[in-house]
Amino acid sequence: MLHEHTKDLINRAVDGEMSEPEKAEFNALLADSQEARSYNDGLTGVVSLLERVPLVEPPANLQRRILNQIQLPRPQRWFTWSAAWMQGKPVSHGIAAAAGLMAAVAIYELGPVTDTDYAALVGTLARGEGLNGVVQLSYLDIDLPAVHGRVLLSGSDDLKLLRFDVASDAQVEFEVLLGGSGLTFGGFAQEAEAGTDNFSYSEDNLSVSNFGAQRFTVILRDVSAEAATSGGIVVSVSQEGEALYQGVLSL
Amino acid sequence: MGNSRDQALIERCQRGDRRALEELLETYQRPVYNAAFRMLGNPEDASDVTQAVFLKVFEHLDRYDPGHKFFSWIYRIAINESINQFKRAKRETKLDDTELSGARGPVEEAELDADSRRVQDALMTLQEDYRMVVVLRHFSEMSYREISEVLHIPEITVKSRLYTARQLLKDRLVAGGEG
Repeated sequence: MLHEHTKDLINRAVDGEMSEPEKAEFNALLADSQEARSYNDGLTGVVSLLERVPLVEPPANLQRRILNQIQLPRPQRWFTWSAAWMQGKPVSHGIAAAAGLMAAVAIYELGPVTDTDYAALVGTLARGEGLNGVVQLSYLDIDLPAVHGRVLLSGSDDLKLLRFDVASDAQVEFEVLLGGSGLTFGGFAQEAEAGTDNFSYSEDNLSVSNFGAQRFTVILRDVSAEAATSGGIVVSVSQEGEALYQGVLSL
Repeated sequence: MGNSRDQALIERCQRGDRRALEELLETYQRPVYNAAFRMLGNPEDASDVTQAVFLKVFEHLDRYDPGHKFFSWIYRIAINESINQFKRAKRETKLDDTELSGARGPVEEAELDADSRRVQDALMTLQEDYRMVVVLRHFSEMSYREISEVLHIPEITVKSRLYTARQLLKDRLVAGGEG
């Protein structure tokens, strides 16, 4: 009859959960005891059979079924004209001038949810005097069967505006990746008649999903010149998970 | 299974980022499904349990304690859901006199290879406490410590149950013509 300590040692050896000194003890045990060898052989046989059993694949539609049933919290949106986060920059004029917006727009500042009265904070922008130093930096023309239009990057030293003026006849997803550009997301503005109802963001990634005419502006702030490594903003377009387009806007 | 990556994905989910949700699903759907399948022995029940696990996880995401590993939490829910499903199927079997969860139809039978079938049949003869440690150790590839975290039992209990379970499995496989 094997001692419990011996069984423990053999089981841990089979599971790879043994220290170096214990390995020496285990080897000596197998060399000395026929009963230990027999127990070890039996256990190794069971474990190798378990390891031969392949993983099974879930049904192909399971992930979609699950995704369709999960409701996530709505993305945080803070509708405000507050200039605090822009350190006094004339945000509304800047956007209007750079994007040429004359229609009603809503500004969603990407930040913590507050008790702000959202309804009162959507208004009409008139073309402003412009933001000093705002210049066009680069653009991407997208001309694909599924989606077409232009993504224009403009801005000044510490503020960048990324304007999407695109159209698609089916649901497409735009993704903006800032990694290494030294920029961070500061806000999101859209023309009211071209609603973009589905967007989400993280520190350096913004996703917008919609179809039809889409005109929106992503407001970007400079974090620091030192943080910039790639010097570019990556814009990609996909449809149902399939990549359709990718381009880089240089700063 | 990197907890810092999981944590970042969870935070993005809490902000409504569906891309992060898809990444979490891609990471955990297959392992959760496999654990459920080995606990229940039936692909339909495993699919139902996998779905229930993710719905529960995202419904209660605010209750997730970042001090603990996400994968421990999701596996714990998977094991609990599997046990509940097994008990439900057992009750229904008694009421309806129909097939017990774990019984396979001809399609599922054809999909499993010989080893898989023998192991699954032997697994289904084990008590739930024994089956779950075998599943977590050999199909989810967890260490003793990780199993202990998932099941909220001491490591010494994990080892004791695992050793007994494997001995029982061996006996039943030998009795069934495989050892």
